[in-house]
Amino acid sequence: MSKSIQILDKGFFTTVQDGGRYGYAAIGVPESGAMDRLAYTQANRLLNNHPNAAILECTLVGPKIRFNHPTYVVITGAHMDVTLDGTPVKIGVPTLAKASQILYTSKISRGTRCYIAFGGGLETATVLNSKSWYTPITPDNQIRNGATLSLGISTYGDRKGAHIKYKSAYLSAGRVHTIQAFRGPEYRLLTHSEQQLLAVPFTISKLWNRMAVQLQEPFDNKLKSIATSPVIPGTVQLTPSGKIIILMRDCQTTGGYPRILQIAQSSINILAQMQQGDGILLSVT
Amino acid sequence: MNTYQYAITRLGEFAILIQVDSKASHELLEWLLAKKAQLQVLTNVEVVTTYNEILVKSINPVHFNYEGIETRIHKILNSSKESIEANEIIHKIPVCYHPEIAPDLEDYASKVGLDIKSIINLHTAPVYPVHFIGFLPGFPYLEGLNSRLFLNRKETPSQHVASGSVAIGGTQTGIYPQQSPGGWHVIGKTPLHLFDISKTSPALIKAGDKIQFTSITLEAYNLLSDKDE
Repeated sequence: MSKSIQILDKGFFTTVQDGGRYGYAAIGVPESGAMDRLAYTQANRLLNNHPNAAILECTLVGPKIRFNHPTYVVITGAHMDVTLDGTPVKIGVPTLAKASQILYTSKISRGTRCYIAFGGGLETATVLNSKSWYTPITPDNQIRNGATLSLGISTYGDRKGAHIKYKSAYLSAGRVHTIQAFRGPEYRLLTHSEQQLLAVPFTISKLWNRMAVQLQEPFDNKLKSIATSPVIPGTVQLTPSGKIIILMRDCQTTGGYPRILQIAQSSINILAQMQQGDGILLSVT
Repeated sequence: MNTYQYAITRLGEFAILIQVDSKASHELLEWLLAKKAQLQVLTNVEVVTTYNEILVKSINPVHFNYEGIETRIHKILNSSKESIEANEIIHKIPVCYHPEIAPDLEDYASKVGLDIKSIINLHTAPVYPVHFIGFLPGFPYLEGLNSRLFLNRKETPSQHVASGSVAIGGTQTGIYPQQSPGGWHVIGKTPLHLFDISKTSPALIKAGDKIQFTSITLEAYNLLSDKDE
């Protein structure tokens, strides 16, 4: 019988994610996968899991989890207080939970998304080559209270995980979060003064989720919509009404707004840890 | 086979965009799909085409070598290799154009100044080529809507456009494979499932196929559609 965990309380918004869904973009299927790939990758490395193993992604408020069997667990990403039956669990340090122990998590205090990985990875259903949840490709858009999730076979006990010192990109950054961006296909259509105006600070609006992050400040422009064209996570769209939209992991595969910038992968991970009211400074190269 | 002027740019660290200097056309569609088939031979990438662009996206960033892949892309785009076999697939899509299941039909009819019968005749007449799939899993981008049916998108998009909705937005017509928010005017519904994850090839309609709408009655629609919906 395989190991399993039970979700006693799902928290605010908790999903199963892996390294993403590839090979189906041409039929309109989003890439999905963990929003903060750095935190995701480190969690699996710390537990000696397969690099594409499925883990839990928790937004704002973490879940409460019961271990049905002895299981190694590690937490990365945003900062929250975690205990195992009252004993504090260190972020970024693999910890052995005993059968019937309960993992309690607090509200996230710094950052937005935290990752909980289990030795052997989550063995939830694979749909179109990936375990990442995205409705309607997968049935649910978030974990349900009471759900039991199977785990794969852990090799952590036999062979230690990677000797990496865990460090969160977002938490290490200062108060001003610089977002690295490359010029997008329609960048050259902006006037020189419009290009200059991209260098002022922007704020994350109330519209932020796994599909996109919209910026608060309007950006006056004369660009027209374009013929529907490919977009990928990190593509920055500018609407004719002046909204700046940064596409995230669950974004559509095509879009009709000018693509003025393309965010660097490492900065997508930082944006994954931001929420309404956080400030960013775009650094265009 | 035609050749086209194109530009290659990077889209971030792990994707390459090929922009063809030409408007959408049937010839360009054939060229794009022929080149897509050749580009898919490259390892660790997936290829997406739209009206006049091709995206070559890494599916394994660790093994992505931009310079190496760019050279191979140029070679493929410049080769005069013959087109893949002509695609003769025409999907007949049954559509019920009835106000009971098409929430925007009557409002749309008054806005374009046509009666429902004329709308049906104009919408079912063409054989629409599918340029690409985007927006939602399985959503086809079609060409050839009669200009008398053009109507700007709704000022405020609907939060819930039902799965199977056949709609018109601006100069385009399409089918929603899943429930979704959307700004197009829903003029009919099809009982067909355009996207089924249980199939090896989940999308019923693919780029390069053609589709034609055929009008069905409300009774036929109810008979053909799932009872649990």
